[in-house]
Amino acid sequence: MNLLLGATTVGLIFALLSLGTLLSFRVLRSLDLTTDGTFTTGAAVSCALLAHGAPPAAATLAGCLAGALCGVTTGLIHTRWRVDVILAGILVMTALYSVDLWVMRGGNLSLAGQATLFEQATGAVNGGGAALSREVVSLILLALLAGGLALALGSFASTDLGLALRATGSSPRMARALAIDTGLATIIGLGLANALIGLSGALFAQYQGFANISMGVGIIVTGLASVILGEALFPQRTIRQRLVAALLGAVVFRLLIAAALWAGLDPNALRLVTAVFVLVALTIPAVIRRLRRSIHA
Amino acid sequence: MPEPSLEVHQLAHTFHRGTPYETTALQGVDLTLEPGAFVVVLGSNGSGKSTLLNAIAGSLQTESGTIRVDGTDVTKWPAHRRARLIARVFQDPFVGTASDMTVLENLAIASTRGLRRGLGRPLASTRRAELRDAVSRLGLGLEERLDTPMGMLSGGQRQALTLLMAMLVRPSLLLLDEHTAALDPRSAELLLRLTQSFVAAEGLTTLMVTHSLPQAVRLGNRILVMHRGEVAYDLTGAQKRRARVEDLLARFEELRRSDMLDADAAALLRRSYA
Repeated sequence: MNLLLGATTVGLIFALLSLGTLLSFRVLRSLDLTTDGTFTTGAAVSCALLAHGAPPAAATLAGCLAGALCGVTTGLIHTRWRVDVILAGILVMTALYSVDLWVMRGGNLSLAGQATLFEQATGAVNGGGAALSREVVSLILLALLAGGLALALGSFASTDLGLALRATGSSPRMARALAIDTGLATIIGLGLANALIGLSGALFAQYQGFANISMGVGIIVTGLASVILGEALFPQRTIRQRLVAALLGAVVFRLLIAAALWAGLDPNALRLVTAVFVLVALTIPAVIRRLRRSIHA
Repeated sequence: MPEPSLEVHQLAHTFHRGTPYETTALQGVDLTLEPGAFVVVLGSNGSGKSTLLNAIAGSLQTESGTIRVDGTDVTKWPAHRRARLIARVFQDPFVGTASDMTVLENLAIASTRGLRRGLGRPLASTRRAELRDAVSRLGLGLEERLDTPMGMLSGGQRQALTLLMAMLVRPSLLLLDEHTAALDPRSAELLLRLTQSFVAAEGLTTLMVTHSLPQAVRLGNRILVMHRGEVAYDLTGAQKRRARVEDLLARFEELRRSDMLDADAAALLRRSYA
């Protein structure tokens, strides 16, 4: 039961990562490798501020804003200097490694004894007379946050600006012909995506009680796996459905991992398994098409 | 006297300058379109007609020359900024619309061309009704499919919508880039009729590039024939009205013969001096 609860909670934290990945990878059609750096930076900034006694909500928001800044930087390098988006992401991610070491004053920053967002929320709820554990309160808080953000993004997607961002990814020549500044749209989109990823990192660090310089390594693959799993399991007709699918995909993915670990999977094999999963999921449609063609031929 | 809708002055461009692949695409083109003009541009492959269109739209920055739209110098403007004044229909129906967005969403984006895009809600019911009315002008029944993803429609339907989208915000200049070339004959005919009636109804200044001589004869009130990056023939007024496909073919033949003469002259020079 506790395993299930914990996996769902972490899944909801990764749901924000998944929403950010959906935005960059599917909506803008850019593979944004800033993600790995952003996740750690969001964690590092929020933990450093908490360690200096900042209120948890402010520290979390700062992690989110730091993420947005990372995304905007990649977007500027990509659109203004015409550096390939993958290289731009790698450059920012690499630079962020140093930034994170400075921010954390080392490779690790423990929050032992610090009240995080989750302790604060638990205190507030139980101060009102309830007697809920930190686990349960965290789960509720994150479900509200992830659900609320997915709804807000769904609403944003059908505003003039939201449509402009989507058109930029879907058909950039059409977007420019309809007077959309596709460079600016890309910068805004990557900023928004990385804001979500930075927030995800900030919450993850507070949930586990520490930030670590390598916590973001390969995290983009987790984001991709969540998005793809969501696409495979849930309807994709509208943009709202796609957002909900990405959210739920992250939770399902986390539950699958928990089940695999519980069944005895070597934890060291996790990244390998995740990478293979993404590879298979991305290539299966092409393989099926080829098989169909050869059957019809 | 109103400002001309389009003034192109001494537009010149060479691709791959300084390499063995150097190609002069435009060599000092001058062109003025008065408001309401409908100009058809003809020319063989490599004549510079597509380069001219791309240069006007801003997807190509030429090496020299100036472009003014409604009297505003747009030479330094990027394509998306020029799009406030210039609307464009591409040859490829899949480029002019976004496949994974619905018909209504595509229309909504087109309905804010040149306006500031903020957090307004273009899909709200009043604007939906306006856009629905606009789509019904096409007479294709697409007003019943506003929530269908664009990717589900045929090339002809998408191209008709692209044409409509170009006109939702009245452009100072409409560019048609071989916009029927990728369609089957029936869809191409439909699109031509829509083009004719929309351009006439709105009195739009239009520049249409085409390979089709019958289209050039049928549409517009002026024909430009491009050759080697220059305007070789400019048929206006009665000349345009009298022009038949055979006349245009004869002009092309004339150009081809002068090319051969040039080649003969070059061969002669080589023989004499080399």
